Amino acid sequence: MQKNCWRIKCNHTPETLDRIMVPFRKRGMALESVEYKRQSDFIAFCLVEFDEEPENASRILKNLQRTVDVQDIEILN
Amino acid sequence: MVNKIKLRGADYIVRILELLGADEIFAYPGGAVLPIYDALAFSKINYILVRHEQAASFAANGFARVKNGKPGFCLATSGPGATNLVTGIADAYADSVPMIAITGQVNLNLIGTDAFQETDITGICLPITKKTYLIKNLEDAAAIFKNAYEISTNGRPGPVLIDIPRSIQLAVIELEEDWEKHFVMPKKERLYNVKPEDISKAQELLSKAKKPLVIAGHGNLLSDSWKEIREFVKKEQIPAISTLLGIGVFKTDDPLYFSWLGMHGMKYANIAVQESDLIVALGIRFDDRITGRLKDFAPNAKIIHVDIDKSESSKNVPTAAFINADLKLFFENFPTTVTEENKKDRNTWISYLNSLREEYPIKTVNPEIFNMMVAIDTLEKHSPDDIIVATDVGQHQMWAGQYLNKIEPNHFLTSGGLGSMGFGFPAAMGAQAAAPDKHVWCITGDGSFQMNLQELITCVQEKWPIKILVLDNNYLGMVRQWQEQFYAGNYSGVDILNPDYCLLAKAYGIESAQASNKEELVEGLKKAYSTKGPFLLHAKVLKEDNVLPMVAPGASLSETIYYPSSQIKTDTKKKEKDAKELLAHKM
Repeated sequence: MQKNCWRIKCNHTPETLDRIMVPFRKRGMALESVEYKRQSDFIAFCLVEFDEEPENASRILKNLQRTVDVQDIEILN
Repeated sequence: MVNKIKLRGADYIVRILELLGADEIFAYPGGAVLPIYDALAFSKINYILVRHEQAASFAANGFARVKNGKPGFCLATSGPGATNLVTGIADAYADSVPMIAITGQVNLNLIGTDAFQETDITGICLPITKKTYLIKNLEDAAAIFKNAYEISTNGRPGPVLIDIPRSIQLAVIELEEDWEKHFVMPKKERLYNVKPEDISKAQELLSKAKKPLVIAGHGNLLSDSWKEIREFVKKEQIPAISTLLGIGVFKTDDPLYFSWLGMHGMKYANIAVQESDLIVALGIRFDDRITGRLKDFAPNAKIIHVDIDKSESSKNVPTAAFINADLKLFFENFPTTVTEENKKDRNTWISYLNSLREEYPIKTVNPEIFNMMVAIDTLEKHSPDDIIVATDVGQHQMWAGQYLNKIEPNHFLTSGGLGSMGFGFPAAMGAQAAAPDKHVWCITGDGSFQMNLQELITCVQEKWPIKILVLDNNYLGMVRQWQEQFYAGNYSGVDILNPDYCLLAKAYGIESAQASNKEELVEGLKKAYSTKGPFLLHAKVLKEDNVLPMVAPGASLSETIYYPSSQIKTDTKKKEKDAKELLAHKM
């Protein structure tokens, strides 16, 4: 298992946090930590930490990229 | 000074729908959408009363595919009405079909009280939509609908859901009298997120390839670029194949088109993939039904992938060059790569594929026996060139893909990603609503048809002349085939009892005919085409039959099973026995 820490720049909407959780939840994964913070009227940042193999983490990344309200994902680990 | 007017929420929302061009809405009423229905009564929108909300979302799918570019609209009440839409919404998400699903919700102040018919439909639909909205302020309605329309139709299309509490529908909004003049229709933006080096890399790969192969997917239909792709392969002299959802992108008599690949695709198309040294994947997502065992997919090929959705880049297969663009713009901007030198290689490659096509054609193993293949082939031979066909899911779906050879773009409607039985008939309804002057056929199986046959009466009420071919083998055929092939013939839960479909049609006021052989089918087809209204053609076909070619689950495309001679022999005996049984059954 590899430690992963991603910083997700997203549109701040009522469903954004739930949408970010979808790729993790649907794989039956539990996150190590989540921190969602609104930065401006329309922008928020979400920091997620989780343990996963690189190949699966890469798929999760793809799933998140398909999310309309996700603008950018910075891989910090 | 502009005068102010007051509008009830429901009237405002219906007017917004009109301004968005929602001419047809597939819908079912209920308590939480009664104000909207009240407003619809005074609207020019044709709101079609389906008999189950699932049919509304499938019909919206069929409508959107035929209209190509416009989303399909469906509407249901809260709670069970909303949850009944879910399969159709998931289907649209899987096949990237633009759809706007609208649901009623309990009053805002009742949300969270477990009120009657309250359900968290935005939460339920989160993983199967591009976006969901709960309207909390009527003032936001126009912006939400426009945003929903834009998101649904732009980029990779897909469904969105708008949940509208009843209290919002009953609220009153004050507007400037000329507000409609200021209503700006959302625009479709064609994406071109491409760096020059992406193009030059792809250009270099393509010019050097000796065995290039285009794989065309649904993206070509969604981006309205079938003319461009046909010109592209002709200009470049590159052979092409398609996915199941890409059927219609090419004309089947195009000498450069080598049919479709995958689990039940052509063996020669599958071999082409495995032997190609460069795949140009256009608007496809490399799903497991086309790749077979992923690690053995196209082992000799580098891959150029062009897709509007950047998340598809190297998602399932590693790509050498990914181009994030709408295909129409890709074709406009991609330079020619054909040279005198690579033209020779390409021609040699095309000659080789032609020899494969001759060696491994689609075969009707026992054409003298009335089976699904014969029935579908006969339907096509006795139909005009531009029929629209909606299929259900199962064996008949695969055979329809194999045997229908005159399909125009966006005229083959099938549930590819989700594989939803029950899709075909409502999708045909949507298609007929979108193209009232076209001949629309629903080719279905006896299992699939029973999932949404309540819609027969919708066709009667709407005067839709849809023709239905029910291919009845008294089995859930595809499941039975898998049980035969992979579960030691242990048939379980597949022996399906059918109603008398002709009597059923009669009960709905629909003309019908039954066919137990080809001649009767031809007569039935003549009757179908001479009938103004809907028509049900009940074909009693061979009971046990297997769809071939086939790539077994988990196998590689290189292991495509192609009508083994021993099996043909065994099958023949078995089929003769079945044929006798069928004859006895008929008598």
